[in-house]
Amino acid sequence: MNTRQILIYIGVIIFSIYFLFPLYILILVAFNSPKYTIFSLYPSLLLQAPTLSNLIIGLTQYNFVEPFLRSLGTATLVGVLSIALGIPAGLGLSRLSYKIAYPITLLLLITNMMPSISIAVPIAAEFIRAHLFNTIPGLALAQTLITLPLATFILEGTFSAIPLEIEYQARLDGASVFQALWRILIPMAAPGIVAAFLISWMFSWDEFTFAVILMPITPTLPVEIYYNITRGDMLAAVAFSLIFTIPVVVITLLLQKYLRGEYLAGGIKR
Amino acid sequence: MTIQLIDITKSYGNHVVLNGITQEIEDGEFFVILGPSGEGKSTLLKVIAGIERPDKGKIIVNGKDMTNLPPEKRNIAMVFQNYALYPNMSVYDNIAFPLKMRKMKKEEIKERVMRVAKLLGIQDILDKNVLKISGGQQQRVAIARALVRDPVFFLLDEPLSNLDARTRFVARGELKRIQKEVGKTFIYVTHDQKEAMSLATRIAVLHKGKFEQVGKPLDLYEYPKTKWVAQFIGDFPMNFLPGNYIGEDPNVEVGFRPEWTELGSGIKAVVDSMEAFGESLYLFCTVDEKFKVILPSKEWHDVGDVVKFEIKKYRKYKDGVLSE
Repeated sequence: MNTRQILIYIGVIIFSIYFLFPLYILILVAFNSPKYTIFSLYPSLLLQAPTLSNLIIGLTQYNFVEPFLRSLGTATLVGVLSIALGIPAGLGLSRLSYKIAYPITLLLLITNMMPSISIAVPIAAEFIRAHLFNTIPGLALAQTLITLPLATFILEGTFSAIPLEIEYQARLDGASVFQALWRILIPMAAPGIVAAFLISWMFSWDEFTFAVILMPITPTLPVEIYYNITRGDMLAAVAFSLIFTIPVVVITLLLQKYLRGEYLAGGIKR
Repeated sequence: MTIQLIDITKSYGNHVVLNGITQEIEDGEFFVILGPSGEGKSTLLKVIAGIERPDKGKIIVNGKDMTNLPPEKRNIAMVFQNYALYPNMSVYDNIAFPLKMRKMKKEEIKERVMRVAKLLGIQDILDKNVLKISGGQQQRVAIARALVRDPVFFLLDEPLSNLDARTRFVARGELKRIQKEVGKTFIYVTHDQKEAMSLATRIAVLHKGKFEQVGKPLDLYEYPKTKWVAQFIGDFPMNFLPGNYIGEDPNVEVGFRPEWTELGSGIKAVVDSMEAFGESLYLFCTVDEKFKVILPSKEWHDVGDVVKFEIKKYRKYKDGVLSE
């Protein structure tokens, strides 16, 4: 092992600690007796008295299943909407000349700079009229506003990486435009589609501003956690937070195999 | 099965790529379109395939106008330079794809795929992923996919250019054999004049958006219609000198291949450099400090040596065009 590798490892370790430390604290609070954590002035960084009672209290005292399912439904709907609209948009942009596609992409991404809070209120007003207020489809539509430009951007890149010849070849082999899209382009773009889905899904899973304004009565899990904290019920918040991270881990592991670059690179000699 | 191209014109913005190409391609021909890079060879193939629309002109195949048909309705097989294999499918599925699109029965697909796989010697790699096979094998798969159905004719866009020299040589012979066996029209695009010479029934030289000359390989070599063709075809460009050097009208130029000369006596030339090409040596010389000529030689000469040569055979060119 040379110095370069050692330095890389040190870097990786520092980076990992930086990201994993908050998660460690969460686990500590969840499984440690509260007197060593939230009730202590100088909380210990070690597991002093392991216990499951925090979680049992948190999860039995409050109903977390419904907010969890609402979050799951919203996030999945946002993911599906983003790729369903992002695929045609991305494909279309990738086939336009750069001079036209670039300003459109830029414009799409600029919409993301609009603070959610300032558009959430007018959206809420419209949604009340449209009977979309406090509904999963309503919230999903609002969140898609943010995720769709990102998904389109990712998919534009993915489709640009597929050589035009492959599409021509499919057409010459007798495929219609839609057959070529369905049987060749979409399977080839799978890694990009998965990435776009994941990013949209996770954005929605974690999203707060739209959620708290557009769905305050039957909230999603992040908002529910927030309610718990403002009520002073830290233990329930911690228990919910722990549950909150599980689907993220599961869905990432499930889709991980698509996120490898080699899938896209081959087939073509440039 | 004749293919007629009538006044095919295509431009991108102000740049005219194809400038009114009219040509008939006969049944069973190995028709090579030869030209330097960037002269619109690939554009012409795309227009024939239906991927690009011509601005003007018609494509008529067997008396049927195909100009406005989408590519999937033309039944033309094409092999692209990068093979355009579907990376999400195995070798078998790649070859079977055009048949699946025709809704053929499973057993028949299998039978046909097996037949072309045998023809191309790729039976053993049918289950493999197309990314995990060699360049030569990928090229065979691409050709197999073109052969598996009964296309009206074949378009090949520099299919050998991504192979290394040795594989390319073998593949060239094989391509010719396959064409004979299938007995269908091949339209083949290349910038490599050697490849064109060895494969073609007829060669069309594409220059400035037009076919500058169409003819049998030997005719192109012996009687190039223009100075440009004369210098493009052949391992070495044709030499040109003003007519007065051999007692012709000084207004015409005489063109002669290096092999049409003999060293010994006659016109004086100064050797600039030398090159060994196969078994022969070639001298790059200057006549009267103005005209560059290439001469074959049997012995070494030093740079600066003065040699004399005679022209045994020549063609006359007036204003860059073959006269006679």
